[in-house]
Amino acid sequence: MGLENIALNHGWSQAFLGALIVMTGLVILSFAISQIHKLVAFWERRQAGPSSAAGEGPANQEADSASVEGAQCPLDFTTTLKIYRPLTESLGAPFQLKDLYQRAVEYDLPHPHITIRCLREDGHLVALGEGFFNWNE
Amino acid sequence: MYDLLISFLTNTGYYFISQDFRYIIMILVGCLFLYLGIAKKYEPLLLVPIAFGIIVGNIPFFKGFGIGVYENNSVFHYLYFGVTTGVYPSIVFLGLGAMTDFSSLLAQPKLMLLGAAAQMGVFFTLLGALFLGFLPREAASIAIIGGADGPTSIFLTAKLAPHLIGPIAIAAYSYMALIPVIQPPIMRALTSRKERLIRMEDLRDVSRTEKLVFPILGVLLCCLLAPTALPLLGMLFLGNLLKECGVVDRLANTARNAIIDTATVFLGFAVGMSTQADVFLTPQSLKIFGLGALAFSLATASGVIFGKIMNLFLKKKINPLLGAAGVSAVPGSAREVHLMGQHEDPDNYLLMHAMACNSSGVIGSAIAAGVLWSFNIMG
Repeated sequence: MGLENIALNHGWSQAFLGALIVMTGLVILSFAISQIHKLVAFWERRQAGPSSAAGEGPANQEADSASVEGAQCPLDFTTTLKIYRPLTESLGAPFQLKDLYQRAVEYDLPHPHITIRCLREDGHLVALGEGFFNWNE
Repeated sequence: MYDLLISFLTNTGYYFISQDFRYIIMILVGCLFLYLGIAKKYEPLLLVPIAFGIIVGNIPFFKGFGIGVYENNSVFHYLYFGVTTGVYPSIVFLGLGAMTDFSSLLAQPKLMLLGAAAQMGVFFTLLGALFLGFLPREAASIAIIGGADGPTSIFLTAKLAPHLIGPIAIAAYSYMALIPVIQPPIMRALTSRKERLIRMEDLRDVSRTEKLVFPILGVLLCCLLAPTALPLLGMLFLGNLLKECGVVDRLANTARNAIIDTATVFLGFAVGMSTQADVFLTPQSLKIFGLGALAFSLATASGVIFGKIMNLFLKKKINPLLGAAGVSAVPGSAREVHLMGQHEDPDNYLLMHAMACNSSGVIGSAIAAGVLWSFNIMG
């Protein structure tokens, strides 16, 4: 009974160590999960790079669908086209999607991968074959 | 014939109940719990089976008939086997994992610290129980009530102090049901109105890949640290993986519906039956109830205070009320936090953030149970 019983049964050390272990465990887990989305984004960027260079292929489609998660195409493409069309002026026509993607990244545009995919799906970018595209006039 | 009649009458429950009024008290407690569960809707999924178990378990009978939960080879003894071995709590955790969406936690990992802080109540109570003269194994079992997690409390008690399962389980579930009564005054006392008005930033979208990686990472990091938490956390994260992997929807559905429901019915009923008056109504049980209330209150207070401490270092302040949801009473404590936040500002939505703290509380209390079990195995 009393403080003696706590000391006799290593209560102080159990309480201190126990609290420390639980806190450490959850801090580590918390840190680890805070890094997951960064690692996932890094991984997806790595996949997106070579796949967009390959033009239209199965690998490209896979990378596209991976990057699409959690994001949606805009309902109105007017603004998107105003931003993206000038990017290809220096590339000439036709151009490759990897070049358009690189330009978009250089200008820090948000979600370039999904935006290009949406532009393709909505028919604003037309495939001319052999990995070349042009704007749908 | 007269002798036979007398012999029969002295073996009826009426006779035994007239000999020991404690059974009547327990039956009344069972009726009160039924009232709270059905009329007041306080955690009915738990309270109804427990309450009916209390009534059934306190119908006295002639010992040796192989009827009661504490008699070998009785039907109820076999049902109770799932409690004493820790099988039911593990199964409940499987279902819990298949039900839980950890998105809010993944979106704001720092809230996990509040789940850890709320576990401090467990360790303060450990000291309190030892101070009152409980043996180390009993003290650890009582302390885990502060985790506010019924299955975890039952699991640890089954491993360390099986003779206390009845009072500890009843205390744990009672306090979980009484969250709307216990937590709000503590939350209000420890926070200013200005703090309660703090709004949390919107949660970012969490990708499927993150949700998929989390259970694998979680089981590895937590269980490598405290392997004794494996029966609980292993099942929790398995259930969550079934839910998130998207290729075993049938299994996930069964886990979060049929399996958890079955386990909850048997767990609640068996725990209720274990409260036989002659075993349950002891001065020790009263102490356990007192310490349980202390554990629960300290856990709530620890979470809130830690939230305030975090605010000293954070640029973007968090609402310290969220700390109260660090106890793992899912989703009761998260609901209370949300309601209190809305009471101060009807446009303040704290529920999803509070659920993040709740989820981390589940993980934290399972680790705490594992750690206490380890200490007592080693000790």
